[in-house]
Formats: sequence, C-alpha cells, structure tokens
Amino acid sequence: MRSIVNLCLLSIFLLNAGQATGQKSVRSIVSQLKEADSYEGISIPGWLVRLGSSFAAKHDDELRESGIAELIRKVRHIRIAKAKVGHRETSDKMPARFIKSLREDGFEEYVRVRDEDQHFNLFVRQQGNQIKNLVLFSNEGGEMSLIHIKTRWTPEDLASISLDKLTQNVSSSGFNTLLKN
Amino acid sequence: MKNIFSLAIALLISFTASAQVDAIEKFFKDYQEDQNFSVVYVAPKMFQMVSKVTDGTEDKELAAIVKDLKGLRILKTNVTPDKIYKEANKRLNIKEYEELVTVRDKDSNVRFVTKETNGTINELLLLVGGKDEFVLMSFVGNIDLNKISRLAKKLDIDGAEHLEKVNKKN
Repeated sequence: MRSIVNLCLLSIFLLNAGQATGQKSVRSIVSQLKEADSYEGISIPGWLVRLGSSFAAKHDDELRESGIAELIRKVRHIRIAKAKVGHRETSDKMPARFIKSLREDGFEEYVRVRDEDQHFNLFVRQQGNQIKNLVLFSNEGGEMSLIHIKTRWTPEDLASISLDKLTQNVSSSGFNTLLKN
Repeated sequence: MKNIFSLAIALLISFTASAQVDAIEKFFKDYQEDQNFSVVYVAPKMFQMVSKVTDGTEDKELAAIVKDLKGLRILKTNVTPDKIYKEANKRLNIKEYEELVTVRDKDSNVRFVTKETNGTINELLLLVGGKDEFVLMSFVGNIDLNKISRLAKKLDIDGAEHLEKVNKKN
C-alpha cells in the first residue's frame, strides 16, 4: 500500500515537473519585469481563453470566419507581461539576459529583429509537428513586452486562418513587424 | 587506397564548405550584439513553418519563395561602414564565391556573389559598402534569383532594396 502511495506521489511530481519545462525561463523573466515600477501582467488559463472565445465567436462572425476561434481552442495558457525599465544601462542588458535564459531552457530562436533600441524575438518549442510553447519578446527603448502562449498548434492550424484577419486583430508592434507583408 | 583517398577529398571539401558558412556565422555573431548594428535573423525552422503555413493559403507567391529558403541573415550599420565592408571582404573570403553582379559608384560598392552546388545556387551573399552604410545579407537554401528579387518587395526591410538589382542584371 505504502509503495503504491509513493508511486502515485512520484508520478504526480514527475507530471508537474514535465509541465514546468519551458516555463522556468519565462517565470524568471516575468519576475524580473515585476521589479519595475510600471509592471502590468496577466495570466489566463486555457479554459478561460476557450470560454471567452466560444462566447465571442457566437456574436462575432469575423472571429468565426477568420478561423481564429478554432485556433484559440488549442491554446492551453496565455501569459502577457509588460514593463517599462527605466535605467538605460539595465534596459540594454536585460534583453540579452532574457534571450540567453530562454535558449538555456530549450527554446529555439526562430526570428530576431533588432534596430537601434528596438528588439523583437520569437522563440518556439516544438514537439514534432506541434508548437508547444511560443514566446514573443519585444523591447522598445526600455518598454519590454513578453507574450507566452502554450498551445497545441500545428502549421496546418495556422494555415487555416486568414492572415489578413489575424494582423487586423493583433495590436502588438513586434508581431506586426513579423507579419508585415 | 583509392577509396581512402576519395574519402579524404570528400571530407576536405565538406570541411571547406562548412568553414565558409561558419565564417559568415562567426562574422554575424561578432556583430549581432553590437548596438551600432541592425540585425535580422530568420532561422531555417521559421522558413519551414512559414512554408507549411502558406502552402494552403492564397499567398502562393510567398509560399513559392519561402519553400526553398533555409536561412536569412542581415547585418546593417551606418557606423564606419567602409571599414566594416573591408573587414567583411577579408574575413568572408569572397574570392571563393562566384561574382554575379557588381555595381560600383563613387559613394558605394554593391556586390552579389553566389555559391553553387550541382548547378543550384545554395548561397547568395549581398555586400554593400560605402560612405553611408554597410549591409550584409545572406540567403541560404535552393535559391531562385527571380524569386529573391520578388521577396525584396515583400520584405520591406532596410537594405533589401538592393536585391532588386539582381533581377535587373539578369
């Protein structure tokens, strides 16, 4: 009996450890951003995202027709963090530190754009054909934004949406730079 | 003995090829954190994903262009561009490439060079150096020069306008 309980506890521990993979670096970045005076952040569990999307899709034809509602159903978690880091010296070094921590945590850099004091990076963790974690990080003169999405997206899911509709609905400047066409 | 010799030659060629790609990567890495440089990097996996994403969409032209690309790097600076251009010419061993287009005027030099394997261009390098700017643009993949110049219009990135000169010369 005791060995069964220990086995169950070990399984629960291992399952949670697995889920935490890929989040250690993101949590660390968010913790550092929280130290800034003007931090804003939100963490939305997948069930709430899907609930909101289902409700919105019933009343918004554009959302339904663009395929975005279907895409949102495969979102497991969204975290958005934004902060203005005041000191120039700190704001110059922080992006490099964040990027290093994401790489060490198994994220692969897919896109990097840097121009003067503007940075934009896209990091992805893929498992086979599935995008498990997506991190968009941008920095514009010390104003840093991070969007972390845990998903079950595949390239086919992304292909099924209308890119024109998607760019109308996304307001982040870094994301618009990536999708500019 | 003959087999060993052939294997040695094959290994030497592959090391040389990889050393050149490494030279560009090393040059890029040396300056990618430099605040005086603008940087664009698109990983091979990003092109793969975009290729799969655009395959079934209306944008057939974009799908056709990105399908064969495996990587893109752009470095640009307005700080001592002449000096950086000379350094790039020296470090990247441009003599190993085939010159496609050279445009020279009093203010700048523009060079397009390529590397081919079995009749297919698998690397296109653009170097721009002058009083005002230095640009290094490296495309890796199975490259169609007509498609690259059309990509220039879609990219809307500083420095990409030089790519249109490739099509004009061809």
